[in-house]
Amino acid sequence: MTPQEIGALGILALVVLTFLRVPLGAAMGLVGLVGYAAIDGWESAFFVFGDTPYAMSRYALSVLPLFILMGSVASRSGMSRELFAAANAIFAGRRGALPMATIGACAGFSAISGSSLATAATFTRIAVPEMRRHGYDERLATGAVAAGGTLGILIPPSVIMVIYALAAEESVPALFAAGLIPGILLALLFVLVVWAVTRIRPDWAPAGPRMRPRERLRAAAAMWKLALLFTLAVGGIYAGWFSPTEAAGVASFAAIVVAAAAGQLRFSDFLAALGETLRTTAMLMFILVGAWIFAYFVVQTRLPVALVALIDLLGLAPWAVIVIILIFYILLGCVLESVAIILVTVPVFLPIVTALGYDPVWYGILMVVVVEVGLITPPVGLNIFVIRAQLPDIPLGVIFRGIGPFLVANTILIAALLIFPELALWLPGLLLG
Amino acid sequence: MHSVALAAARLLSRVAALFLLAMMMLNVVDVGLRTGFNAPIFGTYEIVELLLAAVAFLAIPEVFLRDGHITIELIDQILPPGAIVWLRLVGTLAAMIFVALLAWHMLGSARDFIAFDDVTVDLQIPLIWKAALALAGVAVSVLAVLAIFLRDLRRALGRDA
Repeated sequence: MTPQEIGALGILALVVLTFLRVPLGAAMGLVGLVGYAAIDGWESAFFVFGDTPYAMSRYALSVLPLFILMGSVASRSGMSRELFAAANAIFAGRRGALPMATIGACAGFSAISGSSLATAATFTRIAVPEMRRHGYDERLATGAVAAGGTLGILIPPSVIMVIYALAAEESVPALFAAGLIPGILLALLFVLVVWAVTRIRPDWAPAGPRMRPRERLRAAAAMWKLALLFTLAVGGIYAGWFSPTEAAGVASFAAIVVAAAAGQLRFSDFLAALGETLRTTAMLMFILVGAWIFAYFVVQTRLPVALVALIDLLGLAPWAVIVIILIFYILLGCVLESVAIILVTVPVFLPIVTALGYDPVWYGILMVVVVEVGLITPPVGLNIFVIRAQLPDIPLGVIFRGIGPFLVANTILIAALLIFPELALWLPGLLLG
Repeated sequence: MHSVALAAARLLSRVAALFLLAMMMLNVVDVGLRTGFNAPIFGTYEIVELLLAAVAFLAIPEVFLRDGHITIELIDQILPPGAIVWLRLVGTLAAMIFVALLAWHMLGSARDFIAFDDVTVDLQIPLIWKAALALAGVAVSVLAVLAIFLRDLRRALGRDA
């Protein structure tokens, strides 16, 4: 068998094992080990296998637990509730004010949390009961939280961008900067979607009470904590104060101090945030070890080289290849979860994308946006499961129907990124030269 | 078996929590000393890598015991519950083979670190320290997955409520 044939067989084996409920990290690791051995012999395969976990505890990854800790603390403290009130102060009085505020609060929270699930979980708890109390349709309420939650991985800091940066050997600051404008744009598009939905179905969204300017200002002033943490966590990286790990360390410490000083973080909440951070980090590390072994195998197969040759042979235009890859990602998003999609596909597709002349940072942002779609579409829409876990009385069908209109916004953003790569690449160019 | 694995996993998670706080504080103090006194801590980079080995690996066994590792459960919608019980067993068995092989070959690499006296560049920290932390997480994971496998086997055979 040629290495390429072994590679194709390996990918098939990975699909079979994952569908047989083998934990993803173990499935990737086992396929990677056996495949590597089939090409290069057991001795070198076992050497790579035994060394990978040690190689994975590298400095670049230390940013993950610290950013996760900051988001976890912010989610448990009153910061997220204040953020929702502040966002509401902007939209109060309009029809659809609360779902718009939900999107705004999710965007704000994304600036201190790198996780889509944490963002969706936080605002399911805070925003959905409030919207139900005011008589909003459940489709609009849950759709706004599910869609808003996806901003968590696009607006920096972002766990998934750190993982992409590691897999693609790209810079974390460049990716964070590249995600900011598309993230803000997507938030604005989501607000527009809420506006359009409330125009078409006014019965879904009652007009809310107006707020006096003084009340608005008071609510908005509570955003200082968020502004402080964002300045430390993200601003500090570009100001040249910190490396990403230092920024994450200082910002997570600041989150704990600010929340505790405001009396918003009980000791039990602090311990729970620590536990959650450790479990998320361990889960990520387990999958990273498996994915790394798998990636070594993919490199051995030289499958990407063969695919590039095939594209040349077919005479496909570069944009057509990107569109095919995007369609493939959307399909993959239906069956795999986001970290896994990035880790499984980057070794295969990134060499193709760069061979076609595209920028790996731009491609990373495009991937994150496409992966976001997977988070809110059936059957493996994790954001939806997070909402459902907290609100079991709302049927899954209702949540999926609520999400439909928001997918228009994602589609517009994907098209905009394809046509105007500068949307992602302008800011990193400006900040990092 | 399950209770032994659980006790060991919880102990490791508590140690990991201390290392996580240490990692956070190390960054805070380093930045503070650098900014305030132009005196950064020497070798922070290497200490952070050592701490990360603990933070990222020591909680893996607890994640196994909480069924927290990412598994694609699409097939559950197609198969009857009786078949899923057996399929879980297959999944756990594969995970057990993976972590057992991983622990064994990590041990091999760790022996090399000792044999060659491998140390970090700046602080001369023996690499075996980092290796021992990561290895402890994977080794206790073998115990945790074995406990889950035995639990699932009892369930599959109908000997457990």
